[in-house]
Amino acid sequence: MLLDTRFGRLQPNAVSHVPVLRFSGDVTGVWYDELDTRWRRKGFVLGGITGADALFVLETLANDRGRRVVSRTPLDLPRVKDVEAVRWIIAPHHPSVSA
Amino acid sequence: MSILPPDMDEAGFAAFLSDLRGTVGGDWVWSSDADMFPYRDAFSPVWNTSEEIQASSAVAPADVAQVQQVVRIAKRHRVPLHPISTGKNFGYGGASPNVQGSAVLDLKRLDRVIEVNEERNYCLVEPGVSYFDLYRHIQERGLKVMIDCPDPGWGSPVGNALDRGVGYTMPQFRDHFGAHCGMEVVLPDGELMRTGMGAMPGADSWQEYPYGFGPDPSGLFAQGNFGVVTKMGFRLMPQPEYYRTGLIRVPRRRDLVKLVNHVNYLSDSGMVSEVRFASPLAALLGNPEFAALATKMGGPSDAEMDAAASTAGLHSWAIDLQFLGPRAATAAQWDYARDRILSDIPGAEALDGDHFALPATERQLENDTQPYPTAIRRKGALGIPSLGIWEIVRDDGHVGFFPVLPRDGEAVFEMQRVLGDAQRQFPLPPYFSAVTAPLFWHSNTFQMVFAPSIRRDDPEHNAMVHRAMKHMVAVAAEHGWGDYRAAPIYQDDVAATYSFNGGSLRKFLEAMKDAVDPDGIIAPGRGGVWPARFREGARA
Repeated sequence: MLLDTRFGRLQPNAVSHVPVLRFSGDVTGVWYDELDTRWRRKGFVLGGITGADALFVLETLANDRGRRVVSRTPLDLPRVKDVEAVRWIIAPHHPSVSA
Repeated sequence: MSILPPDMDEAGFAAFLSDLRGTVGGDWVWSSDADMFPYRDAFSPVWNTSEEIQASSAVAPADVAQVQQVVRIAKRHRVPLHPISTGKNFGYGGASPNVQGSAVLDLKRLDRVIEVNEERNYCLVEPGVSYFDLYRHIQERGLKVMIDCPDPGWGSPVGNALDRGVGYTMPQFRDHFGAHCGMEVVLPDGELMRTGMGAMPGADSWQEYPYGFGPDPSGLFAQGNFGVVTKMGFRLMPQPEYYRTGLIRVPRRRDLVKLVNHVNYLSDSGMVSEVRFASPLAALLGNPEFAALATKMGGPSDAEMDAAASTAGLHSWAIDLQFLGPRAATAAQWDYARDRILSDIPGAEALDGDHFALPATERQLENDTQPYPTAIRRKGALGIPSLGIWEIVRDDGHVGFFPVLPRDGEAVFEMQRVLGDAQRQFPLPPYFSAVTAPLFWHSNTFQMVFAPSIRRDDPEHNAMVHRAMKHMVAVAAEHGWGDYRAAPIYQDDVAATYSFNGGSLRKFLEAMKDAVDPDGIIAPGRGGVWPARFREGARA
């Protein structure tokens, strides 16, 4: 699960067994170090609470690997530099990465 | 899907898709709304209007042979193809085509780094290789070469170079098309061609000598529509040993003229990496009185600006200098640059900046220890791809107009004045004012930036931005300043400004287009070059 620390120290609900990666606005590190490799393999559903700007970047990169945002919910959290917080799920869509 | 290719009915479209599926497999051909959504221009100011140009379908071949087959299928069905590499051209149209109903030829599966040569300092890559991919390939193998990447770095060297994109290191590398060396191209009839030494069987110098013998057609494929580039070579910088920075500030507005000339000398002599110009006075734009002065109709006088600088205790201009090379050489180059400028411009000051051996540490890449304010993004300056620049994107994206202007201080003042006045009729932030500094991205010229944001839920704002873009392109052209790169919806406007001798350049290019691609299969309209089949409709 990805959490964007710009919106405070968010705690994942009821999914405490899920590994959590935190970042602050810039997804470069988590994508380069973790997601780029995982998204080249089959499977791997990813959830997160991030800024809408970070989600746009992640969604674009996910699409390159046959994945889509399958759930997207704006959250009632204070905006940070006019950026809205969004809860989302990205899942495999293309047969080449579907489990 | 309701969008059809031009001159085609539903049955013809179905037959076209069937042929594509038969070639690349059903999983790699798309035409549904959901599948085509990522191929729309996410930053479009004409989103969901009649002016938005959308593709009908997309196809992703696995290799060069399949690219050839796709081109032949498209030719047989007379469907325009819009080739993309990784489709990240945000601000310049994204993956959207010039002709409604085109099929996107998505080259993302051609993703091989074919070679990186650290003794001869080049690479050969396919279009689906991103800057991140190339960087990772080099890092994992410990190769001693440095790439030059744009910011963000998720695009591809091939796609970025073909749109004449830029980076942030030494002059001979940051002009990405200028740094290419050799390409392989699928022509509009499906034939495969290699340029330069690649045309000679057995030659081992494809990525070292770009010209071969006779005319070199490489330029036709940059912002062009004469073929589909499937391989491209690039020159790479040997990994530098050391990085050094320094800042020079000058007190008076007019000092910019001399400062630019010194930078020209340093850059053209190969002594400096990208130079960042800035005005410390830009920090005062939040002050309404100063903002009114800096954006005054016709521009403020030098005396007015110098008085404002004196009152604020600020310098008028500053340059961030960066040096790459052996430690002793970077020290000597900084000493030389400092002495040269300080001895010529009264009141100029120099500040030593960070300097360190390469590769940089994570802390050094954060660039938070400079003893002065700096706009340099260290990762880009050191050829490390990043996505962090997304923080500058406002609203739902932006469009970009980057007029090319001479590397001359007087020209900078003139563009500030002319384009500052030109944009006043639009309710936008002041992109051009008396403190706007030139961008030194391309190796031998300056640019400025006009990049208003767009808002998906505000069509009136977007329409204003659309009008502003066209107005700025037209006004700039009256002064000899042309855009270097544009989204498809602006490419005709921009191409029309390159009108010397009745548009002889465009006529020449379109004559060639008619000869090699009479059905307009490859990206008709790209770069403002239309085949006869679409020309009349496009210019109506």
